[in-house]
Amino acid sequence: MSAGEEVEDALYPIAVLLDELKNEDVQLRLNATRRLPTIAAALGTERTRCELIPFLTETIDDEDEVLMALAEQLDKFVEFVGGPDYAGVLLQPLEILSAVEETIVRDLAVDSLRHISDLVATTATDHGRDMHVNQMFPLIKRLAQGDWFTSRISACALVATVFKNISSDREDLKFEVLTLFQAMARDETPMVRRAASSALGALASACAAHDRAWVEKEIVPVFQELADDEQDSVRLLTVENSALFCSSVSDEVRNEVMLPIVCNFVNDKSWRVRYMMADKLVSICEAFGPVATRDDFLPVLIRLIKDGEAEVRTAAAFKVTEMTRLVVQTPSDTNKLGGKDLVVREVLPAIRELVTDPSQHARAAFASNVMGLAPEVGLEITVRDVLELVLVLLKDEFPDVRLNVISRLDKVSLMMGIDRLSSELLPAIVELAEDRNWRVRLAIVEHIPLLAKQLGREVFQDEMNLGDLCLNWLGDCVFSIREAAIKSLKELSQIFGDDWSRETIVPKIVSLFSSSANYLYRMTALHAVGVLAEVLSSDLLEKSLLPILTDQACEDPVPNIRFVAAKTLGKLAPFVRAEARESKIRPALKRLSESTEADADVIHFSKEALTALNACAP
Amino acid sequence: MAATTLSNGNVDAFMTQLMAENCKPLVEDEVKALCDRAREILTEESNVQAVACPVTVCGDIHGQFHDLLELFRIGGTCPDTNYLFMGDYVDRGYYSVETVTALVCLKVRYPHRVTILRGNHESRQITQVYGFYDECLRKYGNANVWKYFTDMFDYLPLTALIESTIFCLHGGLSPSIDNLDQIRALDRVQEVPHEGPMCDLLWSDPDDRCGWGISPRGAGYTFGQDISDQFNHQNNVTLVARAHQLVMEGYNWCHDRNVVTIFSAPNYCYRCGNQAAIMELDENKNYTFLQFDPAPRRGEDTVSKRSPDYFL
Repeated sequence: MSAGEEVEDALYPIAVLLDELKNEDVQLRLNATRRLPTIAAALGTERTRCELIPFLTETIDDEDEVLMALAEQLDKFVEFVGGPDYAGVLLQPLEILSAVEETIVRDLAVDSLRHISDLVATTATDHGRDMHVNQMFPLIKRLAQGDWFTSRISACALVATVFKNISSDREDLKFEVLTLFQAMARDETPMVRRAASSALGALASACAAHDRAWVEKEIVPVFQELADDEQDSVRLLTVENSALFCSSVSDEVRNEVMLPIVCNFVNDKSWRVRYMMADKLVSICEAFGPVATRDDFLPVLIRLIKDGEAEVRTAAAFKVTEMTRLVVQTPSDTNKLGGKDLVVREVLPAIRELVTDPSQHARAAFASNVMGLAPEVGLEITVRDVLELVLVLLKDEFPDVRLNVISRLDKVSLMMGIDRLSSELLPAIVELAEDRNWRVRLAIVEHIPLLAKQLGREVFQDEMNLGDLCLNWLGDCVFSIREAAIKSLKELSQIFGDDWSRETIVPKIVSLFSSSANYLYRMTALHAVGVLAEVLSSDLLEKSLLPILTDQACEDPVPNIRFVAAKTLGKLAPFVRAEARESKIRPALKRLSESTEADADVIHFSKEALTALNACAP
Repeated sequence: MAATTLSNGNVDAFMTQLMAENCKPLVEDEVKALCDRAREILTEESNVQAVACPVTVCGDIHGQFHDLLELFRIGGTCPDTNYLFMGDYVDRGYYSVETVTALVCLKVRYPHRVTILRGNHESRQITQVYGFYDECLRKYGNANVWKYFTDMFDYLPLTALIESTIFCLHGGLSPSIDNLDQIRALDRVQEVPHEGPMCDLLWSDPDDRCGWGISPRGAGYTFGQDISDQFNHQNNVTLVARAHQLVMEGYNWCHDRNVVTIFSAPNYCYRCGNQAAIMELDENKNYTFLQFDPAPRRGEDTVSKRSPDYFL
């Protein structure tokens, strides 16, 4: 076989794949497209550049799915065409893809173009410079002036990257990119203006890095126009871009030109714009700094909290903690109040209304935020003003509201002294221990160990009787509550020690097993033994809990109890002494795994437990 | 992987993969092995499969996989809790593949702890209309997995009898059937027919009117209290437990407690606003109904309920 034939043979599978790229069956074309890297690697860089890419460009598919795969693959193609120096050959097919009708294809093509542009600009200096001047700039110009709006949308998404990557000695081209952008921002198609609006932040950043005066002179007017667009979907995208945009202009322009525009969003007649304002308020405040937050954006927050639309109030309620943190940081000066005093005077009265908001979603959003206020405003204000809000929310009729408060309880309880905690917050918590929503109960069960640590044994057990509360959850009708109670009991046992467990937990577990007619509750007792084994002394285990397993559970009429007993014995093995292992556990497991046992699962789990037993050190 | 080599370890690994946070479906060959093994087990079961107490009885799931996980959070995990599912695992919900795979895994791993009956949606024809077929195509790129499952569905038992006193099935009674032996005599290994006793068991509904009525569903019948009185008396059972119908409270008694409907898909089709329920029977045949709501979906509590975008 000649060398030539060998090469041909090696290329045969590639020929098949190339054929499949033209096959009538979409699935085959799709598979072949996904394997383009294999084809390219086999062809080598030169043939990929000169043959494969032109072939792909010529035969651009008509199936969106294939086009998607192609746009994705081309992103990884720089290495296959010979590195960044040759990346220019990839631009033509990607340009075609960025003008097709299907959004997903276009977005992927634009992503690939941006990625290639950045890669070339950072790695191949001379070629990179040339590619951007000779290919990338003409490309974006063609897209920006395309007849069909889809290509203009793609051009908008590319402006920031292309502006950034055109080298700074071609200021003329950079400026022309801005001119193209300005034209697109005035496009008659709203979709193009939307794309322009989306690009504002990134373009302003790129432009500020080159010359901030350009932003202020060329792009600020565009922002102004788009912020005043007749379509609310265009306006709301300017809101989204406000923070990034405003950090790209001088303090003077920010405070004198941008501030009134941004503040004015709260007056927009479209609730979607106001919603976006509420959603982005924190980052906007951060861009404008503490003085504007105090004087201009705090009033905006208060207006949003009182908005007529529930969605807007909900979005604002989600920002209460973060906004409070920003307001706490604001300065006081001769004629303006700032800091915590301002929170007390302005924020607290406004958020008090959220507690009784007619929308359950707004209340739930506030409930998820109210606990976060405590660390921001400090103990004194928490106890004086926030606590009453918490207590009202804990009684809300909508379970999500209660749950959102309870699941963040640690933030408040950790700040309060034992006296206040037990007199003011605990009664409300105890009341929720029997909440009809099991996730509310769960949040409380999980919170019990934290309370135990804080209150100490005396208050926890003797005054509040929270230990009994926790034990009662072992009889809850919901499995997850029973399991969570076991976990909390284990932690309590670690906190209060063996004596406490002996007096409090052990008798309850013994009676839970012997008095439950329903196997699920006997099983809970067994699960509890398995988990508590990790923390109780072997003495207590062997004397008080092991007999439940070996004497009672192993003889239970329900097979599930017998195999759970077997599993539990396996778990117990490492925590009891060798004597108990050999005299109690092994005989019990042997009995369960013998042929007199009728249930296959019991035999299976006993054998598994015996293996665990044998693994224990003698 | 040949069917006979599917080990407990394999199935445990499948279940771990399914129950994980991202619930990744099995690959095609694994599904095939699983269905082959399930068929071997199911073929041994009776048309009236005997089930012992204690057991937790569940109704329709309909591809609401996250709510199935919620069901286990409420009722307890398998094998520690015994379960009887009364059909309709697939269609409607977005996760039929995950749901039916998980239930079949449980059946294969713990055949004595789990019973799965056939619902009217465990059928080739119905799944082509109501979503399971399309979901298989979307998730696997071809219909093989759909074929493995629907071929296995033919072997699912039609009914179960708990401790000779509670008769469980998906739909309801049939005018062609007076006693359980007639069900035992059916040849069940086939696609659900358009009519006849096997069809009726999977399609019928109880009704307030006496006697047999024409079902608005176009298959099966409606049956009145006189029919269930007669059936329960003749077969010496105290209760017919069935699924098949959406009930807002998750369970619903009818025919003077001859019949109970259990429905275990909360907020059915993600829009009905109903609660779901399961029936826990302890070893003394005492029953407790547990109701539950949909599992919270991740991220949902931070998202505004009204769609703020381009639909307005």
